[in-house]
Amino acid sequence: MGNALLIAFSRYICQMVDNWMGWQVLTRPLVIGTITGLLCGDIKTGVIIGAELEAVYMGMSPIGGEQPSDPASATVLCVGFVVLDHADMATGLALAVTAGILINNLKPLTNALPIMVHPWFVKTAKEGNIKKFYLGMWVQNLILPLVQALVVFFVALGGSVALTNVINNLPPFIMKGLNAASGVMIALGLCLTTQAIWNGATTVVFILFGFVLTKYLSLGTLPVALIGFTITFVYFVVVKKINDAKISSAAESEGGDDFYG
Amino acid sequence: MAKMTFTPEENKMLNKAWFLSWSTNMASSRVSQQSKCFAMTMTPALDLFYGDDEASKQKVFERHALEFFNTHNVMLSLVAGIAIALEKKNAEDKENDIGDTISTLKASLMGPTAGIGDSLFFNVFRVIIAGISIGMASEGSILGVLFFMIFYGGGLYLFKWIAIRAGYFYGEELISKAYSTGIIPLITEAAGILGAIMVGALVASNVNLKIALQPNINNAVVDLQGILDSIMPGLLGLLVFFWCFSRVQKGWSILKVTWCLLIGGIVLAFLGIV
Repeated sequence: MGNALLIAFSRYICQMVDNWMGWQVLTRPLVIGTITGLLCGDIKTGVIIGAELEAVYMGMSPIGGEQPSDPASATVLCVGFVVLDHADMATGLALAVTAGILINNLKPLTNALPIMVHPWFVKTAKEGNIKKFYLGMWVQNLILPLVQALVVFFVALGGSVALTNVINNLPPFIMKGLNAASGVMIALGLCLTTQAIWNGATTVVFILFGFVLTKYLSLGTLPVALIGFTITFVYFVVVKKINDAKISSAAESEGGDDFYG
Repeated sequence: MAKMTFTPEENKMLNKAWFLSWSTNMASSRVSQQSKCFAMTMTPALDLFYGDDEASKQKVFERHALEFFNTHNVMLSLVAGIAIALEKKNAEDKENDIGDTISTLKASLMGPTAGIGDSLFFNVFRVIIAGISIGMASEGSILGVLFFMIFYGGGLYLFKWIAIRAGYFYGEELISKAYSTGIIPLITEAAGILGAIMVGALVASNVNLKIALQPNINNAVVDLQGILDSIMPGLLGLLVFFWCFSRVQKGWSILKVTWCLLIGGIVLAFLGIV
């Protein structure tokens, strides 16, 4: 119980501080392994496990936002298994990597919570209360990592079997539904951007154009942006020429310039 | 390019903004990702440009706080620097509100900057630093860990510090030039095209909805998602996006649409549709 609390605390504090500082190092296996080792009283093993898992997870970067596993949870669990429960390192690594993938399956739950409090932030921004807004960000940052820490706590207590049981006992439609909802939630944020650039049918046509480039031609955001920039540039130059021509012809007729006459 | 110079007030404002831009991923949500951090990063600038004009500050803050923003950690500081330069012009010229231009530029910048930032920092910078650190740490030496923290974490701070200053300084230079030639309305219109294309690309890559239901009619399994894909891949995501947009245009609150999507997702999953 005490051991489980210790490593859950390590998971919590690293996530919370890293979200704030944006260093993106405290939740990396190398550093969180060391910190967990320090808390558990065997810093050297923490460093070695951290280095081992950093090599495993180094190439997995959240490009496009989704990560296939939860490296930080896997690392604290591995250090816990090895230092506190005296498992040998190979067993600890195998257990932890599996747990990392299982814990990642709970993402729909941790994604749903910030979505539910988002309307509060919308309200506060409309009031213009910036202090309250920032306070709200801190409250979310203090509470949300607790969810991940809680999961780590239960896995440390009961092992991966307990976690598999929890996932199997949740009605599957809840996880599926939350997953589907958070899969489309970004549409809502993009709506506000679209409102800002709204220019009737032109906007719809170009949204479809960007959609087709990405879906059908499988282009990345950078090539799409370059194609978009080319179109924008041509539009800009052509319209500017037309406008300049209008201005100069207007000036000619007004000025009564009889140069051509 | 001219060398970057700042007045003491600007320096102070940019330092505060840099500090607030640390928390790129703090309190993010799937609705608008990093918009909260972005809006907070703008606040020192709003205090400097608007002074006691709370109503204008609120308007600008709300715009940044609500619209979707997502890019790489370091790139957020760069885009924020550019946005600060634009907001300065916006505050000076009270007659023409260029808020829409700012939103448009943000929308068109976040995709490419995210692509460059993610591959540069995650796939190059971090792999190099982590490779060296792992070598040092694999024998249990704490030096490897410190090396990683100082050079990767500290490196990000340094890049963010430079990015927000460069964005502000060169952004302001460009904008002043654009203002003096009077082409801002045309830039807004043209940037709207790029913005719309980027919105379309983001919908295509980020809004995902798939039908899991495969009804069995006379022993023939109907693959609904397959049929939809043959009409147009990602069709459902696009429809959800335009549905949300039509609701927001009609004046529905974000709260209402959010709950519709959450409850809708669970109900559809309960019925076995998604």
